[in-house]
Amino acid sequence: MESKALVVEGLKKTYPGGVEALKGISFTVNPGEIFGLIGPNGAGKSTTLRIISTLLKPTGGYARIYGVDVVEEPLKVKEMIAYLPEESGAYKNLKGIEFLRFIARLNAEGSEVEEMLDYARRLSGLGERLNDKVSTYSKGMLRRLLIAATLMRRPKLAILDEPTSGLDVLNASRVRTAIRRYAEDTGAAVLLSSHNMLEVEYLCERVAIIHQGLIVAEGEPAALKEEFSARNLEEVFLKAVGAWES
Amino acid sequence: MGKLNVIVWKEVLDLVRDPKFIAGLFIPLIVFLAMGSMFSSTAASVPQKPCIALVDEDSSQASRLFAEALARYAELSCEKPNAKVVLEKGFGAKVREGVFDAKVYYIFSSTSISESEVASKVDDAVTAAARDLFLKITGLKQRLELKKYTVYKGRVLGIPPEAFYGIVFGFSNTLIWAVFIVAVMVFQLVAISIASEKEYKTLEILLTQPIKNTTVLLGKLVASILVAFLEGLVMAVGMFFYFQGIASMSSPTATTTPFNATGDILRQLQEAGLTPTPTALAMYLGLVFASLIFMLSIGVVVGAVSNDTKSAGSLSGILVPVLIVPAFFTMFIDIDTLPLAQRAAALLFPFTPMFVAGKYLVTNNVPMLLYGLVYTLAWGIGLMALAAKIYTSESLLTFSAKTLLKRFRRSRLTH
Repeated sequence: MESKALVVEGLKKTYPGGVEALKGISFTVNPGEIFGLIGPNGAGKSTTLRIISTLLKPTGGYARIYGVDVVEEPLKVKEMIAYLPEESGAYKNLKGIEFLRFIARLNAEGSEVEEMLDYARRLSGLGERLNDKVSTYSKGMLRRLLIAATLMRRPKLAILDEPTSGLDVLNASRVRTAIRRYAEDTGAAVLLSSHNMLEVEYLCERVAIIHQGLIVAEGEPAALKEEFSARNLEEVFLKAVGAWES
Repeated sequence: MGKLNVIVWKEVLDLVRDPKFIAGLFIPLIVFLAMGSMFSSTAASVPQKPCIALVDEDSSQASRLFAEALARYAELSCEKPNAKVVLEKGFGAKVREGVFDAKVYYIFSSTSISESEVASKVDDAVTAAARDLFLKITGLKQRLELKKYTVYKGRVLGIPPEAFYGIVFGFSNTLIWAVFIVAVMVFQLVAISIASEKEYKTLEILLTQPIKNTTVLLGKLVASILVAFLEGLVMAVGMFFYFQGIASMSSPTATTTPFNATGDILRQLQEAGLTPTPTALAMYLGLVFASLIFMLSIGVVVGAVSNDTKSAGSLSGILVPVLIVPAFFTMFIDIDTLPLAQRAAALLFPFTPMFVAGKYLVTNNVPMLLYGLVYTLAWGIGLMALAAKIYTSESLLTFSAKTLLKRFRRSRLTH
C-alpha cells in the first residue's frame, strides 16, 4: 500500500489550442496533511486539481492517489476523492437536503446514506434552511452546502479549489473550521488551492507556489518565510513569482 | 435621445455579432425558400385540366351535351385518367327531371397532396359541365346527385376521396406531427439538461462522483425519454379531445383512422391494404424508437458544445427548421413518385425516414419501414457513440462551439 496520499510527478498539460498550462510539476501530499497550492491566476492550479480529480488527462507525467493512477483507474480514484471546484453550484430546483441525499446515494447505500446526511447537516450548519430550495440560498449558504456535500463522503483525499472564494469573513471562517475539523477527525489528506495567503498559512502544513505551469517554491510556511526572508506568506509568494517591490 | 442611440447601437452590435444570430438569420430563409419551391413544384405537377375518362352508357342527347360541356373543362382522351365518370342508362331521363345522376371514380396513383388537388379539379370540372348542361336545358330545377368512389391501387373503395384522404393521409400526417413534436422535445430536453449542468456549475461535481460517466449520460437519456413521453401523453390527451370536438361537428368518416375504422369502411380499407399489419406496426414503433435514439444523440452533442442553456436553446433553434423541411416534404409530396435520384437524396437525408414512416405505415410498406428502421438506427448508434465519446472525455469540459470558433479565428490570423 502506497504511504503517500498523493504523488504528482512531472505532470504536464497542453490544451488542444496549444496553451501549455503545466510544464512538469512534482509534489506529494501525506495522509492527514492539508497541502496548499498557491499561485496567480492562470498559473495552473485548477488544471492540476482537475487532472487529480480525473476530469482532465495529462499530456505528460502522472498523478497517483494511494498508488492508484488517475488516468488508468479513474473510477477507483473517484471512490477515494471528493472534488469541490472553484466555481460550483447545486441543482436549483432541489432542496438543500435533497441535493445532499442525491450525492450521498451516489456514494453509499442503506444506513450509510443517513449517516452521511447527519454528518453533512452538522458540517453545513444550515439547520432548517436545508429544507428550502437551493435557488433561495445566499452565496455563503451555497458554499457551505457544497463543502458539506464534498466532505460528507469522507474522502481519503479532499480536493478543494478556492473553498472560500467570494465568501464574507463569517462564512469563510466557518468553511475553514469545517476543513480543519475534517482533517483532524478523519486523518484524511486535503489538497486545496487559494488566493488567500492568510487562509493558506492558517490551514496548511505545507504549500507549493505554482507560477506559469512550474512549482517555484515548496515547503512549510515557516520554512518558506525564512528561505525568502519574508514576514508573511504573501511576501513569500510575491518574491517567488518575481513580483516583489520592496 | 442621444443616450438611447448609444444603448441601441451597443445592443444591435452585441446581437448581430453572435454567430448564432447569423445562422438564425439565414436558416429560416433557406427553409422557406425550400418549402416555397416544394409547394410551387407541387402546384406545377397539378394539370390545368384534369383528365377524365367518360363512360356514356345512356347515349342520350343529355349525355352527349354533357360530354361536350365536360370537354371544355377536362381532357377526355388521355392515357392515365385522374377520374372516370359513368353516365348510366336513364341519365337523360333523370336530367329531364332536374337531377344530375352520375358515378365518379377518383383514381389515386400516389399519396401526394397534388392528388387531392387533382380530385378537387375533377369535382370542379364535373360540376361546371353539369351546370352548363342544365343551362342548355332551361326551366328545370337542378339537383346534383354524384356518387363518389375512390380508386386506390386499382381497387374501388366505396368512400368519397375527401374521406379517403382524411382517413389515410390525414392520419399519417398526424403521425408525422406527433413524431416531429416528440423528436424536438426529446432533443431539446437532453441538450438543455447537459448545458444546464455547465450553466449551474454542477457538471464537475457530478463527473467526479464514483460512477461511470456513461451511467450519468444514460441516466440523462432515460429521464429525457420519460419526460418526453409524459409530455407526449399529455399532448395525446389534448389531441383526443380536439378530434372529439371535430367529430361532433363533422361526418363520422372525417375522424376515422385506419385504427378505429369499423364495418364497411374497415372492410374496404383492409381490402385495399390500408390497415396496418402487426409487422408494419412493429417496424413503425421500432423506427420511432430509433428516431428517439438519433434525436437524443444530437441533443447530447448540442448540449456538450453549449456553455449554457441559452446557447443550447439557440443551437436547438437552428436545428428545428432542418427538421421542419423533411416533415413538410413528406406531408405534401409522395417520395415514391419522385425521380430516382431525388428519391434517393430525400431518403438518404437522415431525418426523412422518421417522418415518411407515417405514410409507409398506413400503406403497409414493410420494406421501406425496414429500410427506415435500419438507416435511422445506424445514424442513431453512430451519433450516440460520438456523443458518448464527447461525454466521457475532457472535451465535455474544454470543448464548446465558442472555443472552436476562437481556434478557427486564431488559425486564420496565424496564416
